[in-house]
Amino acid sequence: MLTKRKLILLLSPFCLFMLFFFFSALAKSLITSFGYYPLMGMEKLSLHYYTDALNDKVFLRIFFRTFIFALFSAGMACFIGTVLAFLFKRNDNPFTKPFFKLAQLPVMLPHIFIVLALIQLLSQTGLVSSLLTKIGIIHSYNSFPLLLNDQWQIGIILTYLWKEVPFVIVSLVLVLRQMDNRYRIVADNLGATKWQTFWKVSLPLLMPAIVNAFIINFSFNFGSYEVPYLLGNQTKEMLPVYIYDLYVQGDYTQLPMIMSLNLILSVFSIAFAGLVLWLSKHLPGGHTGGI
Amino acid sequence: MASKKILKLLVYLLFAVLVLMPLFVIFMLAISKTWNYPSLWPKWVDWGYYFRFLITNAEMQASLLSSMELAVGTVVLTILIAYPTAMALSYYDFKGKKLLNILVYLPMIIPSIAVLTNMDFIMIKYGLNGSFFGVVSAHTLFCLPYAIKLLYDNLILWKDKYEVTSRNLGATPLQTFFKVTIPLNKNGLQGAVMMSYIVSMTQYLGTLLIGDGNYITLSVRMFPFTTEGKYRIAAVYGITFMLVTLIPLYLIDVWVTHKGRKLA
Repeated sequence: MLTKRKLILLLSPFCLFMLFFFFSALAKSLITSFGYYPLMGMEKLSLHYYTDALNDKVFLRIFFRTFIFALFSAGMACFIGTVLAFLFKRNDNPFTKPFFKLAQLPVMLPHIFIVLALIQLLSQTGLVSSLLTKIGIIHSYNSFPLLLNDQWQIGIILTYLWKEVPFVIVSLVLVLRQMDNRYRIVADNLGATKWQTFWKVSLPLLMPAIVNAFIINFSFNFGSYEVPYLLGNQTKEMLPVYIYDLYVQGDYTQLPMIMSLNLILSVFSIAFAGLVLWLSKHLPGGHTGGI
Repeated sequence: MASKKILKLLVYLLFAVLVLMPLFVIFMLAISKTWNYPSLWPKWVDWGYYFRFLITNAEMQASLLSSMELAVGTVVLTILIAYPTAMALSYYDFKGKKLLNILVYLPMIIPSIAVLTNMDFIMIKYGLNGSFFGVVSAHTLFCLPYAIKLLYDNLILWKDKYEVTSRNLGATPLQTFFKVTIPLNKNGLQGAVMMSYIVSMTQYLGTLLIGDGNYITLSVRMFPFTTEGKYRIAAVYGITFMLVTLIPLYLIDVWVTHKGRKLA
């Protein structure tokens, strides 16, 4: 039944799709990034767009800022999500079921949704500010701290946490439910403390799922445009906004430069994901591969 | 033990408030006439406003239609591509399987701003920018990793054992597919359909960039209203988004579990 012809038939839709829309796009931008862009009469190949980009102080500063931001927000989401998933994993708990249903809600809604709610709640003339003024903690909206479009990207981090903590919970709870309880019982039986059982048995079994969720969240935070555009600070620009602005300016002589930035970004993200996966093999239980 | 229960209750309540608060604020925003600083509660609530807007506003209806068209198109294309791929990955052992496993996740790992600008560039070359197929392809690219993973996790549980049995007992390939493969994998299929629907509905940049402004979906239309400070209209779109996402997904869920009970 499992013939080679059938295998090729099964794999061809995916391969064709990726070839046409993903790899050809990648190849085209690779060629363009070397400076080959006949439409504009540019036909000489060189690496200078890459060396320029890597020497560009503005680009590097934005790159570094975005990287730290993505690392921090993805890490926070994974940490909070893991703690919550552990708190509500057991089925004997009356809150588990409604908790899991609640956690699915933010996964289904777009980022703009939570952005709109945050503006109404946390802007200087928002509801929280009104409440604090009413109670008398602050005198006027001027003394409410700037939480959106601020220097520290607090608004963007809150938005991502609202979307990603539930995402981590949903993906971990699925694994936790399938997880073999026997290992935990054996550990308890052999006299391990609760902390030891958690650290040496449960967490290692869950590690692959946490790492996956971290990589997905990191890549998203590193390269998505809409939230930094809406809630970002203009003096502390984020990388996706920087690249998108360059792209839609419509200056075609700039295209090779933009494509080189894109490729630097892509290679970096793949390398970083590889590094995280490699590191996770050296974390507790990584070598067993978990489930 | 009791203190632990109370702690859990507190955490649960805090979580519920944090999740539901934004939904509540948007709901109130959509039905309030005036709600400005420093009032804590809308001065004037008009329950009919939302429904009048939904029925009379042509822009809203156009957005709703584009969203649904794209979502349905994306779900169909994603399943058509993801199902055979997941079958190949779970049933077969072949050279390059590891590589393919990594390839599947690439659209998720590479930052979307890079993927989309590259893709826009090639779509213009194909002449697909602004077309239905172009936008659906862009959405599908982001759905595939989720769909393949969900289907694979489900297919790997039984592999093709039941299908071989079914064929051995004289069932045709089509019968086997509809009576064995699909029922056994309905959980994976449900997950893949739901996730593709959600990813397509929530896309912003892909829809705008590849669609050349031809497909102004609900989540795209919320953008200008938010940046211009027209929060009330943005909230109306937000509520509509919630309705068309949560209701179909809930219905699918009920339908699948109901069918599952009948089978079992």
